[in-house]
Amino acid sequence: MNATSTRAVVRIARRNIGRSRWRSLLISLLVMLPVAAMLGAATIVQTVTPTPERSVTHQMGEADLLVYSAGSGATSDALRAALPSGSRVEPVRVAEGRLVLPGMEASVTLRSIDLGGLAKGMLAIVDGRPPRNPGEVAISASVASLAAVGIGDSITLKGLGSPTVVGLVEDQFDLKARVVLQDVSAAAAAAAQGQTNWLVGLPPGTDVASLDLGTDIAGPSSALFQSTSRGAATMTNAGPTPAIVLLGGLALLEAALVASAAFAVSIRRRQRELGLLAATGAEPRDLAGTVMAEGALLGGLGVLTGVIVGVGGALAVSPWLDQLTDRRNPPIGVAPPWILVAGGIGLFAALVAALVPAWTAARLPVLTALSGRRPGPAPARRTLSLGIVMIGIAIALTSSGAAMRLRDQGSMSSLLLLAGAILGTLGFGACSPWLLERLEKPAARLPLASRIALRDTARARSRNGPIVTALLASFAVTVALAAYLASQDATTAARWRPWLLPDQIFMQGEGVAHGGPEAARELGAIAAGPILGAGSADRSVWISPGDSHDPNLGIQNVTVGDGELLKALGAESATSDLLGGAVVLLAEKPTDVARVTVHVMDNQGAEVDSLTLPARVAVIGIGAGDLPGAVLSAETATRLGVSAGSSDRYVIRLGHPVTDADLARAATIAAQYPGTRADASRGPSRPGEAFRMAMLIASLLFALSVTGLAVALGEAESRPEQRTLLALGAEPRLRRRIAAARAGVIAVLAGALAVPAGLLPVWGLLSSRGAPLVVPLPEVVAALAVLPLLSMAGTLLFSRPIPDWSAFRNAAT
Amino acid sequence: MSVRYGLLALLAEAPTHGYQLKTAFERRTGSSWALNIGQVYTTLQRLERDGLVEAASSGGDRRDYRITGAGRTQLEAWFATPVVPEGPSRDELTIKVLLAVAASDVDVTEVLQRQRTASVEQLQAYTRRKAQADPEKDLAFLILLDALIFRTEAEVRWLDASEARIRHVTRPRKEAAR
Amino acid sequence: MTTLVQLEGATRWFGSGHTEVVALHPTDLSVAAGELVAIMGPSGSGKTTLLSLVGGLDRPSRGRVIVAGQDVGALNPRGLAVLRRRTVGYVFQDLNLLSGLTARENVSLPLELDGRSPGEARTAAEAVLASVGLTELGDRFPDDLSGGEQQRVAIARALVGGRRIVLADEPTGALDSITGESVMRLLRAHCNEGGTGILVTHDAAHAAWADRVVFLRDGRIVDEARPAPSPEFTASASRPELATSGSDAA
Repeated sequence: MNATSTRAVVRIARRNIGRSRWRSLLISLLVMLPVAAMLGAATIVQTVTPTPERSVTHQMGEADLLVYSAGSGATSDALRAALPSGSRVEPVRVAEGRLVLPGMEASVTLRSIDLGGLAKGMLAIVDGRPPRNPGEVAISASVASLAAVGIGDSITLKGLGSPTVVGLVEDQFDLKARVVLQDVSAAAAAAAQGQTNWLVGLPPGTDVASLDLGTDIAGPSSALFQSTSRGAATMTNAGPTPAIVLLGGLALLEAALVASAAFAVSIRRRQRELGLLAATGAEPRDLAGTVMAEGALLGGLGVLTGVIVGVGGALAVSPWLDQLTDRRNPPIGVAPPWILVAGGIGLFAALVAALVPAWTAARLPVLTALSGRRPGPAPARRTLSLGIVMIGIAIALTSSGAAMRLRDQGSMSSLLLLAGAILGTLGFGACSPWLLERLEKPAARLPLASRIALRDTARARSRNGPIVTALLASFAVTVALAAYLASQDATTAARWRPWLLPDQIFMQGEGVAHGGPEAARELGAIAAGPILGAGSADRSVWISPGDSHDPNLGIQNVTVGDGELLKALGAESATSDLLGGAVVLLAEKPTDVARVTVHVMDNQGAEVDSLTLPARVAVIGIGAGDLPGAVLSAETATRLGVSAGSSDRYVIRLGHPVTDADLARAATIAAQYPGTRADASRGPSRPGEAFRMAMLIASLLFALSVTGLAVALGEAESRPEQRTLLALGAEPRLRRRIAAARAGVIAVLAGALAVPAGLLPVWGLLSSRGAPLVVPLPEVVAALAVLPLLSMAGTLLFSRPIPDWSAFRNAAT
Repeated sequence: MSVRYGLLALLAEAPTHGYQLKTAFERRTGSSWALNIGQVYTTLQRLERDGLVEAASSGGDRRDYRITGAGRTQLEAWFATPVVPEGPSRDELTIKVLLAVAASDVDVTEVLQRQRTASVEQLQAYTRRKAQADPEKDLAFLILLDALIFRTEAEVRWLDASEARIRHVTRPRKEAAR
Repeated sequence: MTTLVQLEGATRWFGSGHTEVVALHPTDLSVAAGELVAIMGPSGSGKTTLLSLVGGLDRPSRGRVIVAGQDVGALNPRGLAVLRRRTVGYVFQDLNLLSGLTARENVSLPLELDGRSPGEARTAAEAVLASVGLTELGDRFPDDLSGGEQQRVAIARALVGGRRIVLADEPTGALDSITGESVMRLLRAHCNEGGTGILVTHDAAHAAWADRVVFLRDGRIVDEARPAPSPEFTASASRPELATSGSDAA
């Protein structure tokens, strides 16, 4: 090839693109879509992933160190003493507060930082000004809407009076956060009592590592302070970008397989022209060159449009990004490396797609090419052995990947499993031409339409191989994911224990004080009651069996209640013991505990009192979770000097198993109160199921479009055959039946191969964990039956009948 | 010319007498060419005069001839020499068409069609004979028929081409528009 | 003699008004059983249009086309399809065969399309292939056949099931003269046995196999040729050249 012939080759390629516009469009689209998706996703992910600098600023403003107190005595003065002179120290405080609203309370995050000091950037004032004295606050938009207040109004905070709102504040990393920004004096007050954190600005040139307080959380446990340095917090993680490259690459692999079939059709249609080129003196590599040039041009076009669509799409969704992520995002920016990566992979895929057809074109015997006859199909035996070898290697990779996982070599093993999965899929795909060849013989006994379709598909097997592979790959992914999720769900289900009784509804959240009784009334509960934590702001209670003081045996979740609560909890049998002063222990299995020790702690974690009481074990058959592990009567609580605390949990017992309608009504009631929800124990959750359904539908849609393409490509070369069928008096719909049968052949083959191809890697992965493989029946049935039937039905519906004679008249004259 | 060399070719195979030569010649040429016996004897006499054949025997009233060395040389030279038509054809049809084109009051297309019909009818007649012939036994006859058919077909094609040319000239605009 | 094909003022035009093109002016033609008719004419003379009317691929814009007693113009698309399946057989210049079917399956195709049992169709196909001397090619695929073999298979397909009317559009166009002759011999033999054939060609030598040659020009029949009296090949032969060369020798 020389410069002149290159020019000729490119010119021929350009003409071909213009002449078969639909096919060219298809190939460009196949490249364009994954490139656009990859670039769009990468751009968006990059935009919404905070840079390390932003995260650090959000965490510690402009400070060099974020210091936590690690024991009593950790005061501001003590901290100053530990720091080199000239250091700036600012207290910061995060605490939970209660916003008092008419009829209810809502929790808010109280923060006191000096946004004009080291804390600059941790929060943003979006309106008004920061608070300057304890009587002023700035609130976030969600607090403003919850309390229905604006600047100039006042809000009521439990125990903190009613400060005036002077500004609107925003947590840029959590736009929905309920933040109340207090004046920094609140933090200073807390700091004096030793309950706060500090931002530290060090004098320039200070070596952080040399500081006495240790530079990270994992410092000596005896230290008064623990700290995170700016450098340590700036550590970055890889994020989801490898996943995007991987998914985009796989999508382009699929695209390359389909595009390769399109190129193969193009070669077939241009066969005589290629023969003429060769007869005129073009060398084999010139012939290959025209195909490769076509691939490069179409790939380039696809990449170009893909970049435009990808970036454009990202820009188009950017106005909604903040809302979707609950985060203030920087303006969208396109990273040139991403364009290079996505474009490079896209172009590579187009060239890979053109490779085999180009090779075919180069090897086409000139005389055969000129005769216009189809060259004999390539021997399928070779691709079969290639396929078997690939499957063999895939099994080896999969099992060694699984073995590595057992020895805990994570990323390498994932790589091996992935490579095994891809290689296995391609290997099963490489077997398809051989299977098509096998199917050719028994075809003689089939009805006409299926016979024609099967023979045509078999004889064009070098083109249909990649199509079957593309289809089977997409379905294998579905089968694999489904098998994995089904196996996981099965494992989860095996471990599952109910956390409520079948007739219980559990409500949780700020609105239960009102919502709970309302739901109980609405649903006609036989018993209901709030679960009140035993204790108050400065007292808490835990219970240990017998005389033990071992906290590991203890029950932390202690509530104060009466007979009705016991009934609601399913422990009504113990009512008389409770009233008799005993502690009722709610247990899953019978245990032999007659006495318990109740420990009363202050808020510094010191035990202020303890009392040994008789215990009554009520076996309710479910483990303690959100439900309390022990119930005290109000009298006992008083004896201990603790009161019943506030409650955000509420339990309702219906007396009959909870129905969907019951739960829905409870949920509706809960939804009237912010942050409140209702639950029932509905059997083991199968989180995979919704995803599996979506995945199945997506892959069916994909498979239908690919079979549609395959049929269209097959039809492209059948024009004279349609003329013959027309002249022979075939019913026009025969063509539809043939097309449907073509789709069926491809779908049956792809579906049948997808099952082993999909199960193989999952088997490898699961066997490494010793977990059993669950065959996902819906997906397998879909692959074996639904896919073929749907493809055939779809093709039957959407394909065209044989046109009438006027379509052929000009060609015939 | 052809009769002379035809007889020489037959004598080159085996010596024979006049009447047998006549029947062999007719069979060879697919009965297309009936010779009268006088023509055979006149030709044989001329060949003998030129020293290309000689009397082999004179048993009874039959006189057998055989080919001489000089005769064989001339025969081989004849087979080796291709037949080339001399100059433009002067046959009647060509002249007629050329004159019709020139004449203003004659419909040339009509003349051409009439001739075409006649030629095709001739072709049909040949083809009938061809259809009846046995492809193995009547090989020479079939080859002769092919000669006649292809000549006539050439004539038809010439007529077609002439008509196309005339149409092209008389309707140039329509042709150009295509 | 039975008339199998009859055109009565059959006319076909395309488009309308300003763009109207008349492909076939009102034409009368009748073809009897046992007759082979060739249609000759330059490109665009309406040959293929005429043939497609007889073949039930197209309907006349005006006039009548009667094929084996059926009025083509009065048939609905389904009726036309049945006509093509059972009554007429069509042979194109090339690419006649479905590449996914063997030669035998191609031949049995019209019967299968007509709903006959596979066994019956196969037997009939084998019989026709045998009659055209192609039995040994039955299991081959079209891509493995020569051009002449493909055309002969196509004619066998046109004949299968006892159909009497074969329509051939330049069936020898892509073949050399001797291979073309073998195709013509098949058509001739079909008509000698009482079948009917209509052949569109621009090749006079192949048209000469017909009983009648109809000349078409600009959508009109302009003349018709029937065989001249069989030549006698005497010394005073009808060919002037023969006579001349003969007298040269004298």
